[in-house]
Amino acid sequence: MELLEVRNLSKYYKTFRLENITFTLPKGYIMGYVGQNGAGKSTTLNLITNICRSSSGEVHVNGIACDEDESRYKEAIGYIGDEFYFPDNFKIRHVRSVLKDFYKSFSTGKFDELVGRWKLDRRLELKDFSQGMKVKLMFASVLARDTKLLVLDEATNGLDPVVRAEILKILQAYIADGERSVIFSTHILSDLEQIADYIYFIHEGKTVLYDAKDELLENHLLVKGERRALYPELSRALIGITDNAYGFEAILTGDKAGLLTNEFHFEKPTIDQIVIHYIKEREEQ
Amino acid sequence: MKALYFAKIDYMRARTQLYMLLVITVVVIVIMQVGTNVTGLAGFMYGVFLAIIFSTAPFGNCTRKDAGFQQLLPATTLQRVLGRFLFGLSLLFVGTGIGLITTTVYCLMTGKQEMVPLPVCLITFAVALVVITVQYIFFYLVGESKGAQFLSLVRMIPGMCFFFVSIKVMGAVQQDPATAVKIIEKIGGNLDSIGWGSVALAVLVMTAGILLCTRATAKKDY
Repeated sequence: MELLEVRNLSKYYKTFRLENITFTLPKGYIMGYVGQNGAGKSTTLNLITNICRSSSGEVHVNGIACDEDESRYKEAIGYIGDEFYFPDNFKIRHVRSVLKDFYKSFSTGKFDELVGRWKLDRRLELKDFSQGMKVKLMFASVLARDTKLLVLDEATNGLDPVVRAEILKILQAYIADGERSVIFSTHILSDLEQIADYIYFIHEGKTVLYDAKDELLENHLLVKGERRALYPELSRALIGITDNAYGFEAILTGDKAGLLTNEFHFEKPTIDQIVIHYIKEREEQ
Repeated sequence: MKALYFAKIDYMRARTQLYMLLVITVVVIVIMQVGTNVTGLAGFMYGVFLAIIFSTAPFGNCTRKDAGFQQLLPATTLQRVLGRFLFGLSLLFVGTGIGLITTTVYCLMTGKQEMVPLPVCLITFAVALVVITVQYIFFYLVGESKGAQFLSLVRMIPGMCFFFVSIKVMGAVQQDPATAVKIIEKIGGNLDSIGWGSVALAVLVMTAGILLCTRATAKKDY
C-alpha cells in the first residue's frame, strides 16, 4: 500500500522549473530526497505539505488529496523544516495549546514527556532556544500526534552528531509499525545511507535517479584507473569522470560492467559518490 | 471553531503589544485629566484608534516562515482568514470598550457630562471596522510578510487618519454647534437607525473582505 503518491508534480517560477516529479513511497519506508542547493528539494516538499501550490500534478497522502479534505490531509502530515516555524515569541505552553486546539490526535501527555525528556526549557521564549532545542521541539510537536507521513526538509542541518544520531533513531522507530513513512531531504548523505530505503535524486528541477537504495548501490560501480587506459566506448558509458592525482574516478552502471578490463579497479560506491558523479555529468552536459 | 483558534493564535502572537494597549490606556486617562481643551469623546476615539493600530499586529509579526506555520495547521483557507478577521473584530470591541471606559473615567473624575452618544459610538465602530477590513485586504493581497518598515507604515497611516479626522470633526462641532444641530435635524433625528445601519453596512463590507481575502490567498505560496 502506497502512503505517498506524487504524480507529474510541477511548479513553475520565473527563474526555476520543477518538472514532472513522480514517485511513490510505500508504508513503512524512508525515502531520501537528495540534490544540490536549488535543485528543487524544498519546493517538492513544500508542495507535498501544501505550503506552496503546484502548477500541475497530484499528491496523495494515505489516499487523500489536499483539495479533497485539507484538514484530514494535513492531520496526516508532520513537517520539520530547516527553518524553525513556530513564532519566536511563543513559549512551549503556546505551542502545546495551538497543537491541542488543532490536532485531534495530539497527546498532551506524550508532548510533555518528550519536552521533559529533551530538557526543553518551558520558561524561555522560543527565540532563545538553541538550534538543537528548536529541532527537538519540532520533533516533539509531530511525534506527539498520530501522523502517517513525516516530511523532513534538511531538518538535521546544523545539528551536532549526537543529536543527529538520536534523530535517525527516532525516524527508524517512527516507521517500525509498518504504517508510517518518512520523506527526508538532507545534504548529509551518510545519514541517508544509514536509514533510507529509497533514494530520489533531482538536479535543476528534473529527476536524475529514483530507486531503492540497495538497488542503486548494487547497480552502480565506482571505477578508478588511469586516463590513458580509457577507450571511447567506456568513456561514453562512464558517468561524471573526475581526474585526481592517481588518474580518474567515475561511476558506471552495473549493466555496463562488461566494458571494464583488468586495467581498472572498481568497488561499491557510496550514495555520496553516486550523487557527486551524476551531478558532474549533468553539469558537463 | 478553528477560526476562533486562529484568532487565539493571533492573540498569543500579539500579546506583548496588547499589554501595551492597557498601559497606553492608563496614560491617555492621565493626559485627559491634565488637558484643558479635551472632551470625553477624545478618549473614546483614542480607544478605537488603538484598536485599529493593534488589530494589524499579527501581520507585523508575520514572517514568511511563521505564516507557513499557520498553513501547516489542518484547516481551510476560509478558517484561517476568518480567524484573522475575528481577531480584528474582537479587538475593535475591546478598543471600543476601552474608549467607553476611558470616557466614563474622565467624566467621573472631572464631573463633566460628556458621555458618547449611541449613534456616534455605532458610526465610529462601523468606520473603524471598514478601515480594519481595508487594511486586512491590503495585507492579504499585497503585503503579508513584507518588510517591517513598509508594514509599519500601512499599519499606522489609516489609524492616524481616522483619529485626526475624528478630532477635526469634533473640533468643528465644538466651534459651530448650530450647524451640527441643523445637520442632525436634516437627518430627521433618526440617528440611531443610521448608526445601526452603518454597522450593518460595515459587517457586509467585512464579509466581502473575508471572501476576497480567502480567494486571494487560496492559491498563494508561503
